[in-house]
Amino acid sequence: MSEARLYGRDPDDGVGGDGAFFLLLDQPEVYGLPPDPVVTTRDLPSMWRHVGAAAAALLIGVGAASVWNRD
Amino acid sequence: MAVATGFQRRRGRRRGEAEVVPPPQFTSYYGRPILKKPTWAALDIAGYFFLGGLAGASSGLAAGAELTGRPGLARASKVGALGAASLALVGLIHDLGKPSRFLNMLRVFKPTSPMSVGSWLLAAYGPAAGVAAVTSVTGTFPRTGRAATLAAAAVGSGVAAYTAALISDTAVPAWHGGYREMPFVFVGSAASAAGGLGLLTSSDRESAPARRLAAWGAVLELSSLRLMEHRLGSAAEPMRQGSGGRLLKAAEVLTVAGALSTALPGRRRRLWAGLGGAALLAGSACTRFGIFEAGVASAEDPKYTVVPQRERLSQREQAGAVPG
Repeated sequence: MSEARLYGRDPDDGVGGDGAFFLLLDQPEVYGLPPDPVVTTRDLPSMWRHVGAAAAALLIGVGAASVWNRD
Repeated sequence: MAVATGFQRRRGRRRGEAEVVPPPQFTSYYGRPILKKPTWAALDIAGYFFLGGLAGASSGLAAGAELTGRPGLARASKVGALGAASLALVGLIHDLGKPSRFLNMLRVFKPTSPMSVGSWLLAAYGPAAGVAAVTSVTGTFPRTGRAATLAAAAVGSGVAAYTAALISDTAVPAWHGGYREMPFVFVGSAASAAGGLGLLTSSDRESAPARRLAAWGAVLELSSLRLMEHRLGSAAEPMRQGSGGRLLKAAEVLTVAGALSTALPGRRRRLWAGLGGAALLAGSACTRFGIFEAGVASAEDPKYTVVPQRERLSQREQAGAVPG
């Protein structure tokens, strides 16, 4: 039984807290489970930073488009 | 260790680009999707992204035009922003089911929920855009109008950008994997749409900022999309094939053609500007619907969930977690 594994077990953190683990006898995909899941909200602080930078870029773009070459 | 031997076998089989997709037995349980695909209706949500972006960037263009003495472009952009924001709200409420649910969203403010942040952005943006448009058309309360115009421009940039976090904060592979570039794709798309609307609605004498904004937006959108596809790797496939791929191809053609046609000189300049503006608007809409459809397709096929995660695992393994 070389394919057996504990799915979701990570003593350090796992996906950011599964709260459970499962004994699987094959690859996780075979059971319809993702092999390396992550909590997407973990990236949300970075997402907000990128959103903020993009919003600032839009304001700069609008300003530059209005002012540029003005005579 | 059992996990390690599994990976080694797979890595041994992999030769060249064609075999990046793993053999069927690794895909999923009888090839069924691992994720539940989004239940959003394309017209409501992708339409909302397009209209929200158009409104937000138009408010910015309106403020820029007003501050640089172009009242015609400013008025047209303010009215366009209010119209687009109103239609966007209709799409959003249709998605929620009934209007009172939008008000329910305002009972809390939750930074960990892009939907909550967006509700508050819209609640601040809508009245500002409304006051800006009404005072501009009626010519009353110029000071209030100026303040509302600047407020709408500032909040509008957030309205145009936050929808990227809204779709990237999901497990959908093509949306979450590209969360760094998605806001810039959306903002670029919004800028080219607002530029297109400005070109359609303003006189030749005042349309220069709209033309420049459209060109800048087109470059930002298309270059960010390239970066995103590169980062996504195999999960970018739905952006090149199927309905998502067709829409994004159409978006690219329309946006480039629109941005180029606005630069054409000659007596027919006004006509070209109008056609180019319409093409830019259509291109921006195609971008949003294309990204929407590509995301749904990437959730429906389990290989876009499994393969990037497998690659991530084997990279981590190669980095030295498990030797040999």
